Amino acid sequence: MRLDRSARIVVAALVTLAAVCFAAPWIAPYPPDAVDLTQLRAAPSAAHWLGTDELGRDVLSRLLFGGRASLALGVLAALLATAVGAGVGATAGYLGGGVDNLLMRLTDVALAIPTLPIAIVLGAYAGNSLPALIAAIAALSWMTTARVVRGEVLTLRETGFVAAAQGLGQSRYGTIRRHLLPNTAGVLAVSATIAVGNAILVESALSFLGLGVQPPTPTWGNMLTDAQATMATRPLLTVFPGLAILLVILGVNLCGEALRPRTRPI
Amino acid sequence: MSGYLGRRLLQMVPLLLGISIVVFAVIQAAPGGPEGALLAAGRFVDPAAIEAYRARLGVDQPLPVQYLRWLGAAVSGDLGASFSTSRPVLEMIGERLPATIELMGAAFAIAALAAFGAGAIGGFWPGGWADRIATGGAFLGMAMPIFWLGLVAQLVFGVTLGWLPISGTHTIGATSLGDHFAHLALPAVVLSSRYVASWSRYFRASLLQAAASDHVRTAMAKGLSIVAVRRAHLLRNALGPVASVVTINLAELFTGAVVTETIFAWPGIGRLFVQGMYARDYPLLMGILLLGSLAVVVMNLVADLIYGALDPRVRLR
Repeated sequence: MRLDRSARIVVAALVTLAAVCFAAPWIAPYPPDAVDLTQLRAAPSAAHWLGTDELGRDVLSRLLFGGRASLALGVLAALLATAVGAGVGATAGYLGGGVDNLLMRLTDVALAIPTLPIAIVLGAYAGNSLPALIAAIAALSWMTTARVVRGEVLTLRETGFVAAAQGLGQSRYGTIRRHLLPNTAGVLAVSATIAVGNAILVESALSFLGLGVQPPTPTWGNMLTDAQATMATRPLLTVFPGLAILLVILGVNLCGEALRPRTRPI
Repeated sequence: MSGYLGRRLLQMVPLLLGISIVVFAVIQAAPGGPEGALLAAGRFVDPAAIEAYRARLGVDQPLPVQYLRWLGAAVSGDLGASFSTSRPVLEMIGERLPATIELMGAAFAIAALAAFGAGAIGGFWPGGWADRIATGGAFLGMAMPIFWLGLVAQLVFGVTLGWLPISGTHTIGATSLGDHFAHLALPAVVLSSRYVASWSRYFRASLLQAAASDHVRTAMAKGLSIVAVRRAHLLRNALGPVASVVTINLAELFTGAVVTETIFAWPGIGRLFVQGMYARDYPLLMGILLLGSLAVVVMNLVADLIYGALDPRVRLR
């Protein structure tokens, strides 16, 4: 898959950002929860590049560690959702008949339930566990992928190479895995990329309602929520995590855009 | 056509049944229970009293029994009584619905105007400076966490500039309509941002797609003015797909805007839901989720009907 130059710059920037965040334990100037009571809500300085928060914790360090959690959550939730969606869609499209009907009605059910309210309910299950939160967010976002993949598979099923694979004795599972799914890689890449941004947005909304990843573990979402209390006096504290979320999602969406086939210009 | 409508309406029954089972299971199995409200008071509570409380609410029964009881009442139009207020769920939702519809309606109206303008600029003059600004704005709108936008708007327009109130529906003691609309302004604009971003992109794309079709080239070739082509050939063809996206979003009128309502203390259904979740008020949560899902299902059908009405090539069978 070829990307134009501006898209490659965006990808490079995202990869750099992710690498810096994942290296947080080695490069962050302070531990994320190191409290310095002499430096409450300090302005940016040489010691604290981005200042400190309401407990005197270094904002830059927390941004790096928070990015680690937020990005991991976004990427893993998107991968999980895409895997589930691709599995459901490919199975339904390839097997057809009763299985197709059952899986697609299940998809309809999941699509009809309003997203944020049910996310709030699922947030209660997740509690303080990052893996549970990832599973909950993935459970909200596999449906569109399933539908798109099913559509692609329905077309691919009728092609010659699939008939050839079956003629050569390839099993059903093997046909799906070796021949059908690789041919849907394009749409999967687009939906997975967009899903990363959505997952980060949902986590930040849940954090805002007090249901996301719980303090003291920083994420960009709960840093933003913490900063809300002092927004009028220290607006800078809301700016950094907000900008981080904004830039990452902007970058991820631009990548999704660049991966999308040129014939569909949305 | 009536056969199509009848079949679609029939299909809704198993779909809604499936939704109600999933939602019921997910809500009931969530950790915590309605007795948490007793414990939250922080005093010692006799375990027997907790049992009695659970029995009174009926949550001590096995899940299938509870579900069938709920379903039996729901099909006759009774969504049960709230655990926390003992009032009928429908009545509580009915009280909050006007505020939510007002907020969402205002946001949708703002979004429709802005998206029409931004989409038309991009669709008629793709690649120009105005299109670039509109596209950049749409991408920003999609990438912005809505509560961050809300907080920044409160800070700038409410605190720093002091132009607009930042919470509630009216100033205490004030009853004027102007005061009410001033309270509506910030949440409505903040909430509209997401819809502007998505609708304008759809509109732009369908305008460009229409412009690439043969009949538009023919119309230009036969000497029709560009304004006439845009009005008769582009707009007419581009509005169909956008209308269905807008209609599907309209379903959100009934679930409210959880985040925006929370930031701006707007007394709508979204906030009612959050309160219901903290109290594990199962009937209230079921009621809101079910009505919200019903709205989604109905609006999907309406979107298909509109699509068919706007595009005579689409035959609904």
